[in-house]
Amino acid sequence: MNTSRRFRLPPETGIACVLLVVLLGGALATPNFLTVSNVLVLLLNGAVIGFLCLGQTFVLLTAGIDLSGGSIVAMTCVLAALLMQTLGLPWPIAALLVLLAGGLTGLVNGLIIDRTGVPPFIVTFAMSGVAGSIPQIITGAESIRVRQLGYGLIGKSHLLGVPTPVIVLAVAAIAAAVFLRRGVTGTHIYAVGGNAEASRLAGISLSRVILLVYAIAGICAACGGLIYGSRLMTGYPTAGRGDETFFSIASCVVGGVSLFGGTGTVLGSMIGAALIASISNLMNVLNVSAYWQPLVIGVIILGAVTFDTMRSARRLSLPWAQMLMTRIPLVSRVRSRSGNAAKSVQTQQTRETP
Amino acid sequence: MNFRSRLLGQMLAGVAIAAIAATAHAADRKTIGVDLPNLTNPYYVAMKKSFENSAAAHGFNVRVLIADNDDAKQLSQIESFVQQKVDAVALNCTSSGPCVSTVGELNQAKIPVFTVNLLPDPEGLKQQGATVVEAVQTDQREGGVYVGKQLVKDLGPDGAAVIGIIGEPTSVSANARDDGFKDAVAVNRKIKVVALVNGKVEETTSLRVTTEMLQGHPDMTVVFSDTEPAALGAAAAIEQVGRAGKVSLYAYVDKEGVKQIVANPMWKAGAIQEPVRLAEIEVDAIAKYLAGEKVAPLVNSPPLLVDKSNAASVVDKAY
Repeated sequence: MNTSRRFRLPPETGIACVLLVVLLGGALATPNFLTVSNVLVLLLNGAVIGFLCLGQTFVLLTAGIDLSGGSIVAMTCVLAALLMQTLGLPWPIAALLVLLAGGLTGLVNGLIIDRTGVPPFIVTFAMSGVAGSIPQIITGAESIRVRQLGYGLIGKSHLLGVPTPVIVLAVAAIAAAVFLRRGVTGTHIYAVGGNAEASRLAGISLSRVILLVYAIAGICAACGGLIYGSRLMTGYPTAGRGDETFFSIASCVVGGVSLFGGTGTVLGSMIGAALIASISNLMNVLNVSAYWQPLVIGVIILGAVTFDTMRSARRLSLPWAQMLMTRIPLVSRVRSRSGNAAKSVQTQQTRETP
Repeated sequence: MNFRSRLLGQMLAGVAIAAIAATAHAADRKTIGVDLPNLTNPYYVAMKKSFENSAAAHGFNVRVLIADNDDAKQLSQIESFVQQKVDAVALNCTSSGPCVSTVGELNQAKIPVFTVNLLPDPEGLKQQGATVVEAVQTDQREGGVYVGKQLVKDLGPDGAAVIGIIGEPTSVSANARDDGFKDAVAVNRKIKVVALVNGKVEETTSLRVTTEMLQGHPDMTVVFSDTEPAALGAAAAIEQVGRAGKVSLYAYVDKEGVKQIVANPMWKAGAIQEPVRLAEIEVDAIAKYLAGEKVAPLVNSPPLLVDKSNAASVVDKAY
């Protein structure tokens, strides 16, 4: 049999199946779960983790990690309130400045990682402490109420019945997916994560890529800060410092983004984020005891990733897929880009060189 | 050369005199160590400020450490107080059980311990023979009872309600509030508590879990939040799922919550804790004890009930 004609499932299929099972299971368990209004609530509540997850995807693809996301959420959430309440800036300008501040904080992460060679784990962990403390120092840990009603438009308004943060996240995710899949820089990001040394020898500027991904992660975290802030109309110094950073990493990994870089897609990590948002929503809709919730989330994440890892390592035989392959002449074009990343560096380079 | 060594001698003497003076100055000012669980809850922010102000008013030096909700960290911070030889420690336990060892550590170092708000487990204290000079706490259960009684009164004798609680099931004091509340509403069989979610004493978490709880119970009419930050998140959640006219909110409230009870029809009634007062009582007790007077072993400070009728007048008492 010609291997190129073998039926290959897209890498996200496994996790999408798990999501489907959770959704159907939830629908069977309670009629209040799979309703339009609850799905919108679920997506709205998952938007902050979704944004963090989007930024995290970029960082993980370069084999980095960003532990400062949650703290940047807290910092930007308070910064927005300060800009509006203390300096009296109108909310759109405050929002733009906050995005800039988030991006700059990420850029600092990137600069330190790139220039000093200190591992990203340490740099971003330290930044998490710094960014998390700044709002507490400035406000004395008190939250700041925002009185500009327009600010609420970011988190509380709807477009065509869908909450605005969900739409913004969807647009950002599509833009990111296109950027990573079609853009030259996107390929460079995969290449750096796949093999940094080979990429450098191929002429890719590692510094540029590293700075870019951490800045993107910072901007994504700032979006999270704005969403929390505008939904509560508060600058809340511990916003985002709970499970958010951890869940954003877990969402990416569950969605097939490798912790070792070079592998994974935005679609996968968004499915991962949706899975985690669905499970935590379902448990509160079903009134599962708070003592059990972390256990259930832990078991489902472990189960999903194990299933997916074994499936992609072909240790799990999928007889139904084999059967489908023989019946339907379907060849999947979607493949993991990991294997192709290093090779495509060369082609991209030749394309770039005039 | 001679001049130089004389100059050096004079300088050394000056430094020594300054050091002795500083020690003497420090010796006549007593130092109290304060250890609080976190500064993420505005409750402790208010308590910290009150400790600092009350200590200054009594002429004490004060050192405040924050345990970040970590029992082990609290223990190590208490050990640093022992090293610094502070004159007394005001301790708000991170959690009741492990706190017993922390108290024991101070007993060994013969530093008097005053506990506040969340107290060490009394059984454990007995077992280990550890002692506390004075314990000051809000009567947590009583606050829940107050709010529950107010709900029963608001609904009238034939009133019915479906209630969801935004709690913190890992906190003993939050659970005590829930128990008081449930007992108080149990007099009316048409009032049912159907759900309990974990708001983690945070606005953001409460916002999320309350929206989810309301989605799961379309018939819910009352939300009870047993902590102040969670109440603010719950209020935002009720509005954002479009149930503002249908669901009322009863809660432990801070200053912002009291303002909402004045202005917002969704907020019906609540209980105010007074962290500022607890810290004042505690520092007063420390001053008395260090002056050789006797102090009461336990002070139970009841929370203040606030409803539409008195909200405007008690807003200054809330933190």
